[in-house]
Amino acid sequence: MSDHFKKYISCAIFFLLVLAGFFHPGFSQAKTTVTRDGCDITITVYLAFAFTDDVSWVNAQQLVSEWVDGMLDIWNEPDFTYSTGLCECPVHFEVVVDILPREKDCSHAKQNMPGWHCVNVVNEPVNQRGNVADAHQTPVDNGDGFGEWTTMTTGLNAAHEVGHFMGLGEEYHRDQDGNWKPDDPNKDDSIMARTWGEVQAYPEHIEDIIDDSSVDCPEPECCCGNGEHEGYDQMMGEECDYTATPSGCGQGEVCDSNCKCVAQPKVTPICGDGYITAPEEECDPQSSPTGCDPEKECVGCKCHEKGVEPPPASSPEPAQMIVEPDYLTFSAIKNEDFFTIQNPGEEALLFEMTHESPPWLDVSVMEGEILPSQEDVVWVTINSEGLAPGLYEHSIIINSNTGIQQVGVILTLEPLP
Amino acid sequence: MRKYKVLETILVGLLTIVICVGVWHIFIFQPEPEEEETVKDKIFSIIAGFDFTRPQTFSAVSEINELGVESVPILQELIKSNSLSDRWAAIILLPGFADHNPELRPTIIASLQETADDQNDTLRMLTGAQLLFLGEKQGIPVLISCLDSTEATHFGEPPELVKERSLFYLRYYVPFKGETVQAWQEWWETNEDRIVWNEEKEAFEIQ
Repeated sequence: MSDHFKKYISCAIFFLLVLAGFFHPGFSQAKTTVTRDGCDITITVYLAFAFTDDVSWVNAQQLVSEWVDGMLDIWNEPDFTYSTGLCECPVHFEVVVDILPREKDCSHAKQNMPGWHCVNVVNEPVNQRGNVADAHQTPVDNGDGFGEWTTMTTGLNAAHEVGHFMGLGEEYHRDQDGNWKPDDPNKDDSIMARTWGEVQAYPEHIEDIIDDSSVDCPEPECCCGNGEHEGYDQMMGEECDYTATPSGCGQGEVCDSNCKCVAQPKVTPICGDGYITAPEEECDPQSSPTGCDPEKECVGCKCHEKGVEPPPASSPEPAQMIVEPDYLTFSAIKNEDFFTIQNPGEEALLFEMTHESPPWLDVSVMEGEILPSQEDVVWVTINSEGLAPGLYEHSIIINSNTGIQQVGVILTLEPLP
Repeated sequence: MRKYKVLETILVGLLTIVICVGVWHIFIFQPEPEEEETVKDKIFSIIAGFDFTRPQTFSAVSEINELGVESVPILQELIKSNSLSDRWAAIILLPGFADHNPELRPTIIASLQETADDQNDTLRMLTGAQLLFLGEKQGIPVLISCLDSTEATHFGEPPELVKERSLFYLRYYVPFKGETVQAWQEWWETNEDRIVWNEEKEAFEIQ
């Protein structure tokens, strides 16, 4: 074999090894990923924590739970959408957490969990770099980040640092005397600018994160729910749009979540529910139009001449929503539980669960109506098959005609002994 | 034959001259040995790189830690400096050395007292927190004095309010959940003599 040929073979083997390295599952599975299922886009951060001393280890579960709550509060904003044109795709945020075995630090994760961001947790007021918490700025799909957090890291601190793990940079600087200054004074409440008071993630953050990935919001199938039902949307087969006003449906119809007009559901006649239910009601003050002639006004769901004092009528108590409990915990052996939605008010409570659940979670009821003084039971079922050990969290958001509430779902999967 | 002998003699002579000149050059042009950079020089060089307008430059403070206990006397000098960055570096690093070298604890705790009444809220807060980390209850009134601060932290990531971070430190180390300066002052006056450090829990408790 000639020397030239030997060199050629060596080069080829080296090249193949490099390629194998790039296509190792760890490189492509984890870190921060952006995926799309239908029109739903999900940003997932894979985060491992290493608790290396006694005090931090004892408090590990509580700390991680607090940090995950902080991250979800800021980043799992129900109104976040992503658009690459005319359509808008809902965006969800998830964090998959793993706690490393006792006394293993992030060097262990680097070897055994490639692609996971890893955070060493120390029980000190500040870490060796003088920070309460820090994290490498790591672009989406582009490597695993490292950080060092103290046990005194708050939920808001965690939300800020996880922003770095999603590729976002600082949005503040300090002047020559060390005074804090937001980069954009109009957005000084950005979570990437500060971690006190009322702070938020901005749609631009979501845009930056998803722009770094190869995920888009496809047209036309994802235009339903973009607040428009004319022109392009109509051409694309939308009969209506449930977020548009007017929705585009005719009288007696409502726009469903697929942007199709369906017959208005029959509801219990309750004055003020927005529906005119003959013959009990002549009109409804919450309906548009109210159902009265222009020269009359709707009072107590009866049409009266304007300016004429209507007979005294006691106004019913509006609907109320009480959700109990406000969080459910699950494990590998407990996979089913329920919460109740009660309506102690005197008007009907209309509710629906917003957004889809993650694949491991199933909710028995997605929408419904609860009559006064009644309650509904909602079963939550967990399918942990195929899930890696770790802590999984999700918020079930209940949207109703009286406001929004949420039920936290915490699934803890212990590693097999 | 004789001709070759002469040539050989000339060649040996030339070679000898070349070797002599070479050896002479080695001695003449040898660079003077560089002065070894002292720990003090290294610390000053690291601190010189700190730039408030680029907060990430302060992360280099951890490099001082790698210089070992030899840096302690220099840091004890820096804690008296007029420069915010010098004092900050000393406050951040000294407690770590005290934690790993019990014989240095008394002198380091004494040094930390230098910044217990620092005019800069962030430095005073960090001093209070580090004293509590070392199990020294004198840190409690230092942190209480930061509860009415209106500033954001001058150092460290992520940015926070000094008063919120101070309250967090107090609640973390001390078994009292008060909100206001007054509540904390009253609690401290009542419990100052009863509060003791629990080494196992790394927190204070009431005796």
